[in-house]
This record gives sequence, C-alpha cells and structure tokens, in this order.
Amino acid sequence: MKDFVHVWQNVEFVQTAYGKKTVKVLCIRRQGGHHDITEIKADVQLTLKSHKDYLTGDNSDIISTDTIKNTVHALAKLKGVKTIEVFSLAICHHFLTSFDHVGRVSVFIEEAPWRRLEKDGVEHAHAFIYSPENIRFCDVEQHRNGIPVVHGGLKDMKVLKTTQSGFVGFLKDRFTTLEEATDRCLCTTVYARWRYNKVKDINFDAVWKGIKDMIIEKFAGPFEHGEYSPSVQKTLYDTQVLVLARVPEVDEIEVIMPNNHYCTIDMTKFEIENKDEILLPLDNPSGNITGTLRRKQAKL
Amino acid sequence: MYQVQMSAEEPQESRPLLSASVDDFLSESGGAPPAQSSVLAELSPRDTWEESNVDDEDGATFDTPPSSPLGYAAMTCDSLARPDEAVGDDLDLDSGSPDGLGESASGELDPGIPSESLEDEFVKAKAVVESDTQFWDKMQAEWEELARRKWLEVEEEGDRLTPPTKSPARTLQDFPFSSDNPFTERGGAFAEAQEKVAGGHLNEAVLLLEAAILQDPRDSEAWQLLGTTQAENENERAAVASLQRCLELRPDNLQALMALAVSWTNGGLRRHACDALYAWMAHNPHYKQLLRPVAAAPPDNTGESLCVQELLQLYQDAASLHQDRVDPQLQTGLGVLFNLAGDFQAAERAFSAALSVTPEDYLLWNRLGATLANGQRSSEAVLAYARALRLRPGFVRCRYNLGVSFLQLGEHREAVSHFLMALKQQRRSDGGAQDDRVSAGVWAALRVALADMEAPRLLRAAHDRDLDGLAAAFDVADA
Repeated sequence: MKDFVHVWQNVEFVQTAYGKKTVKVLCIRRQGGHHDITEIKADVQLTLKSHKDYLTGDNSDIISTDTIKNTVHALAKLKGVKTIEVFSLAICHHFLTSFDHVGRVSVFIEEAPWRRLEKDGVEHAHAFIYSPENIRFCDVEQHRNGIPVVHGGLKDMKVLKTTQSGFVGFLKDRFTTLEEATDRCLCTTVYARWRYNKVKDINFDAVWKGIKDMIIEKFAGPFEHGEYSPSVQKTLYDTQVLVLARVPEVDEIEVIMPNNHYCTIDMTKFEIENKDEILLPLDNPSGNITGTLRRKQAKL
Repeated sequence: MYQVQMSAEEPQESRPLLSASVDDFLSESGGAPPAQSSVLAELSPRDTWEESNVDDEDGATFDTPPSSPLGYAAMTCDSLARPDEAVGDDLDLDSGSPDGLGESASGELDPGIPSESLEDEFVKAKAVVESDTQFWDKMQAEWEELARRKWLEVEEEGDRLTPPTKSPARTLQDFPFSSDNPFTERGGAFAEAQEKVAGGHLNEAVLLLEAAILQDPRDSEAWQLLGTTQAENENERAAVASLQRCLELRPDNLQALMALAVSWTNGGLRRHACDALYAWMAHNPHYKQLLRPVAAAPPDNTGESLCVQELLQLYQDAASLHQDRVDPQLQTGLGVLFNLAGDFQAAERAFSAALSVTPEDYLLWNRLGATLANGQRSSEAVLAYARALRLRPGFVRCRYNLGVSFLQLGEHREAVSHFLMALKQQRRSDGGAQDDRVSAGVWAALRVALADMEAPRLLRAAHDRDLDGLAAAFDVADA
C-alpha cells in the first residue's frame, strides 16, 4: 500500500478537516426554583498537522469524532454554556492545548431560540416556548499559535412592511417586464454575520442584541411613519453602516437580504377591484441581495 | 447496456456544451444555434451502439474515454472506418481476442444499417463539433479582450484590486502609462527620478520613471522604483502592475517581491500575498535552505501554496536562525503575515523590531502605523504616521492613512485637511491630464469625512472634484 502512495507524487493537499457536526446539548442552570436554559447545536472541525490519516490509513493521530462529541458534552458541564461565542472559544482552546498535533480548530454553534414564558411582566420559573423569530449563531476559528477569529450572527429573521418601499429608475432592456413601484410590500429574511476585532472583554450577548435591534430599526424606521426604502440594496447598506458606526468591536459585517415577493392578485376578471389589498405570497423565485462591508483599512 | 455519460468533468479537449449566447441565437439565419445539441444526440449513440453491442455488458475496449464526444466521433470513425468492407465483417476493436464485439453481437452489425448514413452522421457530428469549437474560440477571444480592457475601466471608489488575469504575456501597450508625459525624451530620466523620490516629489518621479521605461522597457530597476513609488503615492493598482513587470524581468528581486506582497495584502488578495512571501523566502540566499527540507519531506507536506500559518512558521524559523541580529526585511515579512492573520499585536512587535535596526525607514513607520490603526489603536497610529511624514512629507499613502485615523478618532477637520494635502500632492503640477483612478481612494475618503461634517455645499464641491475651492475653504496651502 505504501508503494502505491509514493507513485502519486503529482497531487498535493489543498485543505483537510474532519470532525463531528450537529452535536446537540441542552444546559440547565438551576438557582433554587429558577431555571435557566441554553440549547445548542455544534459543529466542530479539526485539522491535524499530519496528513498520514489521509495518506496511509495511519489513524494514530486521529481524535475520533465520537471523542469530539463526548468532549463537547464534557466541556458543556465543565465550562458551562452561557454564551455560544465563549463556549466556542473554550472548545478551540481545549483542542489546541490538550494536543500537540492539532493545527486548527473550527467551531460553528447555533442556539435554539427558547424564550421564557412570561405574562404581564411576570416570568415563569422554568417553562419556555420555542420562538424562532431569528436564530443566533457564531463561528470561531483558531490556528495553533494564532489568535481566535470570532464571528457572531443571526439568520432566519423574517420581517415584512406593507409600505414605505419602492423600486424605480432601474435599467430596462428587451427582457424587462417589471413595472416601477413607489409603494410596495417589502419582505425579507435577514441573514447577518459579523467579525469581532477582539476577543476579551466583549459582551457578546449585548452586541448581538444591539445588532439585531439595529437591523430592525433600519428596516422598519420610526414607528409612526416608517422610513422609505428605495431598494433592498440601500436598506442593506444603511444597516451595515449603522452597525459599524455604533459597534466599535465589530470590524466587518456581511448581510444577505432575499426579497420575498408579494404580488397583487389581478381580480379584474371577477370584476372586483383589488387595491393592493389581496396579495399572493410567492415562495420562489426570490430576489437575493448581499453585501459585505468593513471599516476602512489603513494601507501598509 | 452500454450507457453514454455526459459528465461535468470532461477532459479539456472536448469542450463542455453550454447554450450559445443570445446574440448568436438571434443572428443564426434559421439554422440551429451552435453548440445547442449534444454531439452524441446527433449521432443517436444508443441506437448505433445498441445495435452493434447487444448484451455487451463489459463494453468494448476503447482507447479514448467513452464520455468524450470527440473521442466518440473518433471511435465511430475508427470502428466503421472501412466502408468498402462488408459491414458484417467482425470488427476487430479488441485486437487481442478474436471475439471482441463480434461475439456478443452474434458476429455482425445489424446489416440493416448502410455504411453511407453512418458516414453522413459522422460528417454532421464533425460539423457540430467544429461550430462548437468556434463558439468557444470566440468566447476565449472575448475574455482576453475584456482582460486587456480592464485597465480602461474607472473604479468609483477606492481601489479594489483584481487578481492577475491568466491572459498571455502582456505587452507594453496594456500598461496604464500617463498621458501627456513631458519627460518622454528626457535623457537620464531614471537618475532624475531617483532624486525626485528622495525629495518626496512622487508625482514627477512617476512621470520620469515612465519615461525611462518607454526608452528601455527592459529596465527592471526602473519598473521596481516605479512600483514602490506608485505605492507611496497611494496608487495600488499601478504599483502592482509595475512590480509584476519588474518580476517578469527579474523573478528573484527581493524588494519587488516584498513590495508586491504588501500591495496584495492591502488589496485583500491573501493567496497572492502568500505566494509573493513564499517566493521572497525561496529566492533569499540567507534563508532559502529552510525550504529544502519541505521539498524533500515525505508527501505529508503540502505543495508550494503555503498558507498564512505555514508561512508564519517558516518566517519565524528564519528569524531564529540568527538570534543575534534582526533582519528588517524579514521582520517586515513577519509583520505582513501577522496582519494577514489578524494578530496586530504580534505585527506591531515585528515592525518595531525592524525599526530598531533602521529607525529612519519611513515605510516602516507607516507600516507600524497602519498595523496599529487596523488594530483599533488609532491615537498611537497617528504618532507613527507623524514620524513617517516628518521623514518624508511627500508620502501620500501615509498622509491618506493619517486622514483615515483622524476620521476614526472623530477629528473630521484634521482628516479633511490631510486628504486635501494628499490630493494636492498627487495633482500634476504641469496641469497635464490625470487618470481619474489615481486619486479615487482619497476622494472617496474625503467625501466620507465631509458627509460626516454635514456640510452639503462642501460635499458637492467634493463630488465635482473642486480641489482648489475646498483647499481654500480649509486653508490648505500648497505642499
């Protein structure tokens, strides 16, 4: 077998990584009768220094993915899981310090959106309801001898407004049938991922909540009369600028806003006048608008 | 049953089939658009092969892979290449055994297929393949033309770098020389340029260097100086173009390699930055022996494309070779790598180490400043930039960086003054026409500063590029 490997000298590695994904864990913190929970879904990937596992089938360096899963479980108990970013950092730290031969650790965690039951300002001691208004996630990557790079994010946040959105002045060619609109519905499912420029002394929870609020703020505008959006692109960019202006701990932010279309149903054949009151939600296709913005960099 | 597979990973020779461009479709006079139909469909392979290969589970032995349409056409030609012979003769595709195809097909092709129609089929297939080839040749020519034309595009903001195109060796005419260069006939242009650089008159240095290059396009020193000067003049695109030309002439030019690595880093092209840093190590007589063990190692190690982490290890190993002395260029490489890795504190240490050896190197002061700025330490960055500008007041890039840091600190008036000064320094004193892209980045930063100051009249002036008006408004004297 070894001889066969040496024959193939005309190939080289581009990248390798292995690990366990979708490791789910629920953490309960009990303070008397008051319980706190965090439920997560974790993907952990390791890149080892040697490639002998791929090359020759020598498994002596492999930390089995089953072990990786057990490690996540054990670390959940030993370190606790309060903030997913901090827990991700702990996982990276463990694998890089417990072993000599791990070159890189990459962790992705999604948090289950449990919300404590509450009524008239009174919170329930230990009951929660699944409220997927948005999903919080994070990813952390760290090389041996390197500093960790932390990204925070949120996804699947679907928002809709029924006016203060338009789209005019776009390019028209022989294939264009879209009519200009100055008053339309705008519905989008926001995805945002941002990079922190430091790791210590950051209140990840506060930053996450702040950015979520800023996204909603830019989308909806003031409660009375909203804010006009000339395009998804403009709203997206304004959101990013707002985040970078208000959050000094964030250096770069990526936002993806699909345009989930709603179309007025033509009822003229029924001799009914539909004044943009009854609309058809379209699943597909949807527009897809993306952008990544970062602080101006100094030139070396 | 033999199945023909049109897989996505076709060999290079047989072009993958995509639909033709709409214009081709519209311009075709009635006929089918090129490359729309599958070559194999033209040949109705299933029919042809099934009739000849009934129950041929293992398939005949072919030289060319069956999925390749060209190969298939060739096969068809070969296998039926003897039209004068009776079709029923056993087809000796499998030269080893007398059975070959014949056995499974009960010894003969279906006698119902006359050889002439197969010839026609082949001619048709060949025509389709040729128009297919034509289509791709046309696309290839279009791509190369676009790549050549890239130099003429005007970027709106900043200077986004595009990765080097794989187009054939560029000619001198593709290079973005300045127009109306008054120095083109000047003798001793290179020497004069060196003086201008030393005096901090980067604008004129650029023109003199371009003149020297037009007189002798193979002067790699001129290309190198042009590259580094353009970088100092905050014109990354031109810097990259010049440095690449220099390296085409002299691939082992260490200064050009390091300067190029810095430019790629600024442009966010990490892969290219890493390649340049690797090349710097590979051509460096002091350290290249460190690379030999890598090449000789068992297949464990990756090929030449090292990533940031591996390069960091390499550069750190090089640094530990000579513990007693510090190599400022090596430390610069380390600083660049740490910037790429986002470890600004380590980068700061590297540039500081380099400065301890060459404290008058204004480039290093700027690099230290940029590292501090990108690491959120804007007030310290300002101090480093000030040191650089004291040494070289005409250092446009550093002044731009200073403006950016003032912006981060909320000092808008300071920022605007420095941007305006930089623009004045970049402006040609002889009033000659200047490419819009040269100052695009600085103008963009200026507009940001003015927008923050909520001064619509001044912002309009910035949109109109009214440099004199703005300079007067902010009391910015001539450089």
